[in-house]
Amino acid sequence: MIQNQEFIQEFIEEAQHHVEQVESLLVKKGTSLGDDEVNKIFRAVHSVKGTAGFFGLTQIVSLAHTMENLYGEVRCGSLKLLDEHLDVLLAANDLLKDMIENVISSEDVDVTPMQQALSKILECDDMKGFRCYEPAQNSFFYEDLKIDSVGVQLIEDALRHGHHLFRIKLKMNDNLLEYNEGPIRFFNKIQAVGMLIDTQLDISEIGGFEDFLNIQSESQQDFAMVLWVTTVLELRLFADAIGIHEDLIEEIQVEEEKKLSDDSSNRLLDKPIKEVQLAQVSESTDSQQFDPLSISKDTTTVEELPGKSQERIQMDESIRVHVSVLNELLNMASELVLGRNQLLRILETHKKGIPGLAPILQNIDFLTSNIQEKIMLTRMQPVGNVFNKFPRIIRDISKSLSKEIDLIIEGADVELDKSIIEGLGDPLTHLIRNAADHGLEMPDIRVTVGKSRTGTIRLRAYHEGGSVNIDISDDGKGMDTERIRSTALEKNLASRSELDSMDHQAVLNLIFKPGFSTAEKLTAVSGRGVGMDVVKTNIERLGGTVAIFTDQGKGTTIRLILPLTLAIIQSLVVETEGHRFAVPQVDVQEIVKIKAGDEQRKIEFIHDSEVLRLRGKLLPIVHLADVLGIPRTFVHPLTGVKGVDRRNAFTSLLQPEEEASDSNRRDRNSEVIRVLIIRQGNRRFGLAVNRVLGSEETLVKALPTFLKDCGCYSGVTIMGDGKTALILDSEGIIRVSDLRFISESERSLEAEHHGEATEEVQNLLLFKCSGSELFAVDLSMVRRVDEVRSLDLEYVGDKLFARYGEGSLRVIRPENYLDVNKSAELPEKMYVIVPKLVSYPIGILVDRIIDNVSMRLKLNTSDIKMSGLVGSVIHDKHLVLVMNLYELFELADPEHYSQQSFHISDKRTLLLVEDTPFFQRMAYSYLTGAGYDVLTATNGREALDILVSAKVDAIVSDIQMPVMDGFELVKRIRENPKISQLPIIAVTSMTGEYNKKIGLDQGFDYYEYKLDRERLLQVVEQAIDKRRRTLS
Amino acid sequence: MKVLSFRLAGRLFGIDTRYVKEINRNVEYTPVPRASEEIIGLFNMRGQVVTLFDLASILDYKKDSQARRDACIILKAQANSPDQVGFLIDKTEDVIDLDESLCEPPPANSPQMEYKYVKRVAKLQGELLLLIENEGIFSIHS
Repeated sequence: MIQNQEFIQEFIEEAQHHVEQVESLLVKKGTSLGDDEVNKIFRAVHSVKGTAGFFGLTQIVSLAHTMENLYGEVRCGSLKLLDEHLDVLLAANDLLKDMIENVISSEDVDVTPMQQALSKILECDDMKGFRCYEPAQNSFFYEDLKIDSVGVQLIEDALRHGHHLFRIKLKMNDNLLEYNEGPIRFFNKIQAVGMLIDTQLDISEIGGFEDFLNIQSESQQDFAMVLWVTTVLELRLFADAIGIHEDLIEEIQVEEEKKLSDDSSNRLLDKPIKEVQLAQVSESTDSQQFDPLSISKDTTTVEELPGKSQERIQMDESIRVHVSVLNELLNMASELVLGRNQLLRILETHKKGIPGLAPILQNIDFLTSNIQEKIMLTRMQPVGNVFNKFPRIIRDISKSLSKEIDLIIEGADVELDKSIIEGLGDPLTHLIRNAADHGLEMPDIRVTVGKSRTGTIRLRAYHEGGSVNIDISDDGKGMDTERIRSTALEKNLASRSELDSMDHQAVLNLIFKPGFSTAEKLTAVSGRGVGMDVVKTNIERLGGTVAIFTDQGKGTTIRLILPLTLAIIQSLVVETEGHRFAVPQVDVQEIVKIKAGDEQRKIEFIHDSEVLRLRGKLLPIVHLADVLGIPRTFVHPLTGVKGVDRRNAFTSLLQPEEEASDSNRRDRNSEVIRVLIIRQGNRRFGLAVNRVLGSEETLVKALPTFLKDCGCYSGVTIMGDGKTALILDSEGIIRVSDLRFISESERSLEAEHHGEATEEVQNLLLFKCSGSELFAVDLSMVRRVDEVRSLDLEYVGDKLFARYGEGSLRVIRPENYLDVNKSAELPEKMYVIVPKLVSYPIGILVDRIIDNVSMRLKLNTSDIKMSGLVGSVIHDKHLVLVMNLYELFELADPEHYSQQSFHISDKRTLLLVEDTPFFQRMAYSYLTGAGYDVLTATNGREALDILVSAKVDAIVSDIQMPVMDGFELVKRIRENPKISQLPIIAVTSMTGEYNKKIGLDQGFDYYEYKLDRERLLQVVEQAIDKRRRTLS
Repeated sequence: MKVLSFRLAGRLFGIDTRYVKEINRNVEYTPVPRASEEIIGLFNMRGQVVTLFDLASILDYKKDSQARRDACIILKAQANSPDQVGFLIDKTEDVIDLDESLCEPPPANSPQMEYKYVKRVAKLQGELLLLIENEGIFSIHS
């Protein structure tokens, strides 16, 4: 029984796929269906009918049969589909879909009204004089075989192409259920080598679907089924191919074959020419598309190799796996990750003591991450799965609203975790409906404002950073913030004074408030009682966020920002009052350490609210302990006794002078707190905790329903030591601590972000070569790291190459080009660092990968100077030499890397504005290497000072800088008529189209990524060239 | 009926063994700030997160509800509920074969919460056993 249900599940999945295919084709092509598409539709419906027949689903078969008939007429050209037919066909398809989805009750559905509607199409067709699938005149033969007219037509077609007709007789229990892959796969195998014409179930012995469900392998009850198949294969080969015994298959010789085809050609001769042409069309499509011969061409070996050819049939390179198995795998993989974390932690101290342990651990570490990653991949599905239903929805909406709408779908192949895909349907439907209903204007209005009659809705999925964005844009009227204001006021969602202090973005965010709807009248399309608040909640439940961009009169874009996968996130583990919590790393912008007594960084008070001055801005501070209702404690500075920190209790009573004494008390205290700067959309606040324990890959487990009411947790995780920890929900903390944000616009936040001392964090890959020195390269220059064996390395002349599958990669041992310790011998196992941002990749061959660290780089460029190195840093008490890959490659491969190609004839002066010493040094070396004179400044202010006296040809500037950032610098330069024409190139680590657009909007001429030498040099040359041309 | 008997706050309780998944000692649980007071915390049972309830608090044994306990009974997950549930006890006793005829509803003068969640009292030799039902008891009531 269970097994049967599994088969039925397979049937449902398969049939759903078919009806969806039909729907999307109908919607996409409408009445202009090509022959290929009609064939696809016909075949899809036919497959549904065939498999449903096997399960005794008589109503589905009956409906599918009528539909198939109709499509058959379309296929052979005797019926021309009209617009009004489409609605009926879609409705019939919907009914079929419903019946498939609710297979158990499908037998109770009355399909006759739908069938009548379908037959009407056939009847009112003006070509009713001639039917392709009229029962063949000599049909008694087929009648005997109980094959219907469509089947006959298919058989005749097939026979004309030299097919054999087989009848397979199977016993359900003995043959089919025993067939270990299940009936659906059995059918698929048949379809791969031939065509299934019909399935006949002898249900005289059983009652129908109900009984099918109840058949058990042990029971005596069994019933026979007959399959009609045509194929080019000989009987024996066919039996081998589908994996059943020859005895069960019988070849049927159609004696009337000759006569039938004669008949039909005679008949054609009698008909007007028009119909003859139609018949030819249908024949030609047959041979292209419908002919199983062309399918079996893919499996060429079948015919040529006699004997056991079954294995040679190439099925799809994929197998079906039940989702529950994947979920279990995912869970286990996640457990494995935890196990690995624990193992690594415990064995960390023994690494030196046990010889050989370190590489094993490294290997396990690597494998575990890989396994987990691959399993995550198995759950990835294209967003197309949800996007597919929108053409239909848009079609319906445009009819009911009398609007003309084009839907453009982009990025349907972008993949997301299955659970996210499943959760996207409703929010997206709502947003699409909204865009169509509220966003787009009526066609006449569009014309009067100078737009095309047809409005466009764009649904676009794309990757950005570590997330997937889905944009729903319309070119409609945009959002009217005044209307939003008045509605909010009307509905009491905000007070007038609140509204007055709100900026554009904040007003837009009002539409996410429960109970908000701006439509002047509710329409059937979008006014269904759910609002944007539901969309927002749903998206947030998936771990995503929603952003709105609107331009009045031009349109609106709603952006959903979604995580790629749900299950594992990078978190920061923090501790407060002995409780450990995980904070999703994506929420944390930076960590500020506050020492008592530090005048530069201290927590100040506005009444009893704590704030932190961070780069000239006030940031609200929330103590995690307060949020959670845990008493705050402090260690008394004199007695060392831990007591309850009552500071909050009396600060409200403090007079200013007393406040000073309070801070004095805290001055004596050696207490240090850490403030996580949390960013949620446009809102930022500081979350004060006692300690930050580190960063960990955490597996997110669902929050027990009992804890949902707490409001400030989003899940549970299991830490490396096996204990559970709660994952904090930043959004929830904002709610619980009642932070009222007057949200700042993105822009001002960005600007503020580049305050003082923004040292950029760099990710370095640490490794060792044959000597004892520790080296590093910036991770942004690394494409990947591969393991190689010394066997795979070969010398060609004096150059070393690593074999990679079919290809090879030149590799170098950096120690050969640097003045460092080295040994000539090649260890058995080594690693190749494959660089990116270079046009002639050369792999860096290293002995050992040590670590991957994130640090604020304090680069020392004076102590160790040699070509091929940028400088040195101290990490964990060790000296680390940071490599300059371009210089190194120049030493190793002067032919490709000589800077000749970029050398310029006359001296040009550039101004390089960059605060981070490492990047400054890299860019400086690139530019001077190419022959430019380079002046440097570490911020916008310095740059402006230099520009007063010096004459430069172009400026290369970072954006995030202290004192004056790149945006401000550009603004100032553009305002100054003397220098406003200077080309300015932004080089930044803020990648992504969005940032790029902002950069270009702000006035930069070019926007480039840091460290990409060739791009930079090209762009500089372009910029100077362009300038020269405009000047001359 | 097979009943797992256990001690809590000096009293003898029992629960039908059909509901019981396992017994754990020395559980290291993580308290959950802001959770309702019936919830003691969460713990990791071989990768599954179990919500631990404080039965003493549910039954309104005020002075015993703060006591530190580290033995617990984990219940089988109920159908349609993704949550694993357990509760802290003082210690487990034997599994006894309980004759249903020994059981009767709790007396009319039982404390309110006991009356609500203890559906039957078994008259064992020398001691009364309070039989708790799985249904409805372990969830948030506030």
